[in-house]
Amino acid sequence: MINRVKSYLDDVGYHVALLGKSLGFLPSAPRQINRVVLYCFEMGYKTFPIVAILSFFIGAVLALQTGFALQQVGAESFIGSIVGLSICRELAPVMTAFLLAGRVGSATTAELASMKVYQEIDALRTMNISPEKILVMPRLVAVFIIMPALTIFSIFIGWFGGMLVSKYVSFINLSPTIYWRGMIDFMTGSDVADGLIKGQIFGFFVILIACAQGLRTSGGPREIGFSVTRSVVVSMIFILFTDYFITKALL
Amino acid sequence: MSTICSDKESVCVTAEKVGVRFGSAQVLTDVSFSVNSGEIFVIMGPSGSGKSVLLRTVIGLLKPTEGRVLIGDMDANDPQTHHAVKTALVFQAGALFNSMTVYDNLAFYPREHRIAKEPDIREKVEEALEMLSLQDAASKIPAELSGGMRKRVAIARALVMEPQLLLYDEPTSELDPTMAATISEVIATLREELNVTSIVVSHDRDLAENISDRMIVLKDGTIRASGTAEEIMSQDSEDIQEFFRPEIDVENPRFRRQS
Repeated sequence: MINRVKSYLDDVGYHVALLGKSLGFLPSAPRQINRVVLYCFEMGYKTFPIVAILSFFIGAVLALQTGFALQQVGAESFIGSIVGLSICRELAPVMTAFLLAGRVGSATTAELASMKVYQEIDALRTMNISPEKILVMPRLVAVFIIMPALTIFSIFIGWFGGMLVSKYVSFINLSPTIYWRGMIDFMTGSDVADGLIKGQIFGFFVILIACAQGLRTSGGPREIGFSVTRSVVVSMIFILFTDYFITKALL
Repeated sequence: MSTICSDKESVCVTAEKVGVRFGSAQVLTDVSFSVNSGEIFVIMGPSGSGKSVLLRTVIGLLKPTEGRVLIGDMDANDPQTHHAVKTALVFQAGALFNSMTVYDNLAFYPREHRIAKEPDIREKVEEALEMLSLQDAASKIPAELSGGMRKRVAIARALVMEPQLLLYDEPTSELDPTMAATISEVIATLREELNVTSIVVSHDRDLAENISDRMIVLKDGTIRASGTAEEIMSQDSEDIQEFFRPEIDVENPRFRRQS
């Protein structure tokens, strides 16, 4: 038990140290611009399609469920506000972060773990090149740039999915004007901002966890798989755990 | 222990009572030696004797649990040391960057440190490729190369770094005799032309005999013998004889085909 606690604290300490070291290299970010652009492209290009599909159907299902319940009491006009708020305050940032963990986080962990196992990280250190500088910091900068775009994209696609269902499903049959009107009446800019803040925090830590798990890999190739699994699981637990506290703080 | 450390192009290395422990396993105990500037120093020993751990400790990848390693007069584990002294390690498995071509592997160090412009980097890389007969492999990725070629690329990559201290981990393992001889020549040539201080970990008796100025023999994490190759090979100690006698005794083979 004591060993598990020690190992957990050791893990937390490693993440904090990695964050500190990587942020210490921020002044050299302009020199790493090529890598930042590459990682932005990888994170965006790989994640946008799946974010679009997931967000569209989450918006659609949300509209369907709320529409079914609300039409029984004649309150269909509230669908827009419910879908709008749920998606932008909660579902878009959380789902985007989940997808980032599954799609980009896992690939990042696999890449860094493989570099660690095959001694490429050691080779970098012997060349006096810090892995935190060229492998971690540019990824953190990239996720900081790309995450708001992903979250906003997810929000709009989700809203759009909800609108289509509200209009074309016969038992709801809500006009888009009323759908958007309901959304605009009940939402403020701070709702969207809160979603973006959440997404930013989740995305940043998903990539940090992915990098840390990759760089902490030791042993043989089998460990690469274990690290990838651990990275995704830890990221998801982190997202769910911090979501509650961030939501509470932002209310 | 007097170490010659005067050469500006190369550096001396001193290990002072180095001990390394992983959990309850003591891997190295009280290991002390010194390597002079421009010297080729060979570390030999059977598998599991702690040679590679010692090499990783010397270059600062591992922190000794006891004692210390000095590169010049600076601690090997101090990050500042690696800013002041160019060190390179040729890993046993190459440790090449698998996502890059051979050319980019070689150009990686000067590009990252911005120590030369692209035409100069190209010239240096091409020179290193030519020295190790790797011109045809420049555009390949490491996965497309044989074990021997990967090892040569690793040496070429180290060459481009123009190190003052160059460490080799089993440079001739998994190579055919011709290629092993070529690598021995390269190590010797590098010392002659660039006066690089070299530390070579090897099982290869021929390599040790041919290129070493001095050597140590490790067993169970402690130094069992030190001196020149001739001095060591003439010792009567059982450990040394056991290690240096031919691997296959033709007169009395240990394994016989069962009739």
